[in-house]
Amino acid sequence: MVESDGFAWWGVDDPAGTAEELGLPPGDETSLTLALPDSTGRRITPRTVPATLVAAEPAVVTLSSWSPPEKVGCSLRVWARIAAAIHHGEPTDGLVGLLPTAGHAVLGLDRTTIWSASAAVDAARRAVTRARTRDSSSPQAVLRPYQRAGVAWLRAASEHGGGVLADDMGLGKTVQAIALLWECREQPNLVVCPTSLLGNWSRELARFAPDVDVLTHTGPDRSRTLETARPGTVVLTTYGVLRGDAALSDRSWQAVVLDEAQQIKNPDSLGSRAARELRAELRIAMTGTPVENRLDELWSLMAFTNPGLLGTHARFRRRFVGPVQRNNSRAAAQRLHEIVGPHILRRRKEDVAPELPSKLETSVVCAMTDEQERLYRASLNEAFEEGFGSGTSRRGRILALLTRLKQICNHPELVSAEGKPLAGRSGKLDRATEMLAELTSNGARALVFTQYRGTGELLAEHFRDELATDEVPFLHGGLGTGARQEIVTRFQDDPQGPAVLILSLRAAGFGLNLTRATHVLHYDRWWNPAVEDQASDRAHRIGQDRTVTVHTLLTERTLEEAIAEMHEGKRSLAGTATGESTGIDTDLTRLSDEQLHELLLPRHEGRP
Amino acid sequence: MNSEFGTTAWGRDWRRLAEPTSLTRPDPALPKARSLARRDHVTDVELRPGEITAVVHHSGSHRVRVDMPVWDREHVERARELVTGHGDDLPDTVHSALVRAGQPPAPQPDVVTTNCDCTGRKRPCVHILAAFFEIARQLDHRPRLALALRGVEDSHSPPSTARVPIGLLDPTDFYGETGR
Repeated sequence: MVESDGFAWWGVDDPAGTAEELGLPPGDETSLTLALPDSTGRRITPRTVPATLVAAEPAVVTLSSWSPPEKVGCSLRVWARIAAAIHHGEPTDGLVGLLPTAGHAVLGLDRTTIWSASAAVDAARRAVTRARTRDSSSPQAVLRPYQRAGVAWLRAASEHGGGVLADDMGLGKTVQAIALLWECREQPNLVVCPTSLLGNWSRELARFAPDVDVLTHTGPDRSRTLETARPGTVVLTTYGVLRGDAALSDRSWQAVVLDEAQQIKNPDSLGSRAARELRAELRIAMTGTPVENRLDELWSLMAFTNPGLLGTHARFRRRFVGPVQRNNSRAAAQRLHEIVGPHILRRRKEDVAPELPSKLETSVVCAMTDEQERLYRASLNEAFEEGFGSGTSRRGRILALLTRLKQICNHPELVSAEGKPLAGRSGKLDRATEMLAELTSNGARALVFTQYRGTGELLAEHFRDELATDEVPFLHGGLGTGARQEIVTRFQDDPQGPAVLILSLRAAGFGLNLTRATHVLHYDRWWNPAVEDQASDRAHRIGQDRTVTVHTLLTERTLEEAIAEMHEGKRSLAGTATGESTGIDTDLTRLSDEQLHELLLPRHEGRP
Repeated sequence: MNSEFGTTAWGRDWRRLAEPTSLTRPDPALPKARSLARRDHVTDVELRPGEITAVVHHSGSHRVRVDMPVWDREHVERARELVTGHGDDLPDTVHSALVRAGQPPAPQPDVVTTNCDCTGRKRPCVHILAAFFEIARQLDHRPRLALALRGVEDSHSPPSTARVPIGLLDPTDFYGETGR
């Protein structure tokens, strides 16, 4: 089983008992969906059968010295020979072709494909190697089995040009891409992402692949960055740069990764053309949107990853877009899936859930816009010039400054109302909008927490305009009990109810049951992580049978990042180790002016 | 023309059998024939080297049969060479390469023979025309069928991708030689 590092015994009524009789480890009983011939023997369909699961390494060890009795099937016989070869470090090339389909028929987590014989054999070999060597320098060490399968798939995709990694948000597309980039050391690699994600990429690269050189190719004096790129270097850039920078297509890359690849959904746009001009051995598009339902977008992405696979756009429109969208042709839809299915890896959170903990937590680092940075620095300067005084007034003034800085991180409009459009002015707002658009297009429901009434109202207004929904309720302390209850009931119980609910952190503390949501966004940081956890538990509590993903947004190089580091215990405050700390806000008011200034001042760009 | 049948060069050949360019006036049975194919009234389509059979449901069920010559060994080999390296799907460029090599995938109209068990006197009848449209549609989806019709049977190499859609799995010999 490629995506869970294990072997499955199946094909008899009592797999555990039969395995024991045959001298194999009995394993853990379960049921498993396989691609099997139906009763007519003419078609293959998914069917669930009793099975037991055994970890790959012990299974290979046992099989390698096992002599199959007369009655066992071809699949198990061939696996025994393969296991012996893996165990003794011998090649398996000649054996892979002997493995019948039954030997690798477990339905993939994407529910529509099975892994090929050679992918299955490679996975078994990898699992054994891993168990024996434990190489902790590779990002692979922190991956879950389904993610390792994803990385292996991405690497093998180079044979066909590339592929589309379309796992659900929260399943770790970025970390799979980073593990892939870590292995690509022959030429430089390129990552293209929206500006709002640049900070996230450099941070994740530093975390999972600290030995990889990263160059950020943005800004007016970027021309020299490309010259210093060496084999294995990861060059980070944005779609904006991609559209206008011929230097990117003048050289060749080993791997090119497009993150949030729906940015090139329009095949005739400048960005799409520029992406198709890039020269690379391996071309990966990452997206979380349901790309197989948006056919023109699908063509555009695949014209980048697998040029020629779908033919010209005009032919594709005649052949598939018309029949599928206009005539609702199931045959055309199914055939399209057969063609693109091997080149798109899309796993849904609910299908991977058995492999996941009940709560996943991720930080989403967003860049400051120029407007935000200007306001942030101006507010800092002003406050420090005026001074904070001493005693109680000092505490009050520091807290006022912290609040103002947090508001600027949320959105400049909150501190200087200019009435201009909201998009493009706050890194967090842009990123949150992209994330919610993706989540809602996949049918997921999300809670968005903020501690400010003004922010909540701004978010509600913006999301109503930007998401394909006219209802984004905001639950806050100013509402009566009846109104609050109605919002909760609509969200929790009404199938037609809103997909996104905004809550004020304070109003949401008690008793609310919002388990309909599988994603939680913390739009701003609370000083006390326990309060955030309590809020997240509105979705992640008894009655929740799905994995909840908690996304914490933070603006890089600001006090939000400093707070995050304090929460993670990476940073402690000098002079506050008094043992009676009641919260980070109290701690901050005890700092000297110099300490406070150093903490709040935007750090240099590019420093993770 | 923006027809839903013959959206690729592979299927277009068969639409042309229903709508020959030599027709000066469109056959009045064509709209009905298209509609039968569109609404899945052509069923049990079996494509084998040199012959196609299908059942068309229109005022009862009618068996339609289409025969055409298969290629000789030399042509079969040349076609195999031309598709080498292509995946399960075939682009139109392979079609034009076959045409250039002097062996267009579709049979010429004068070597195609058709039969229908309906009692109508007009030939081709609406059932045969509907079958042509349905064949066009199936060849649009699976261009390799066009080659199988001419005798290139095992051109389908096993998929080389790391993941294989269920629809492309071959049920024969699923469990391997020794059986279960």
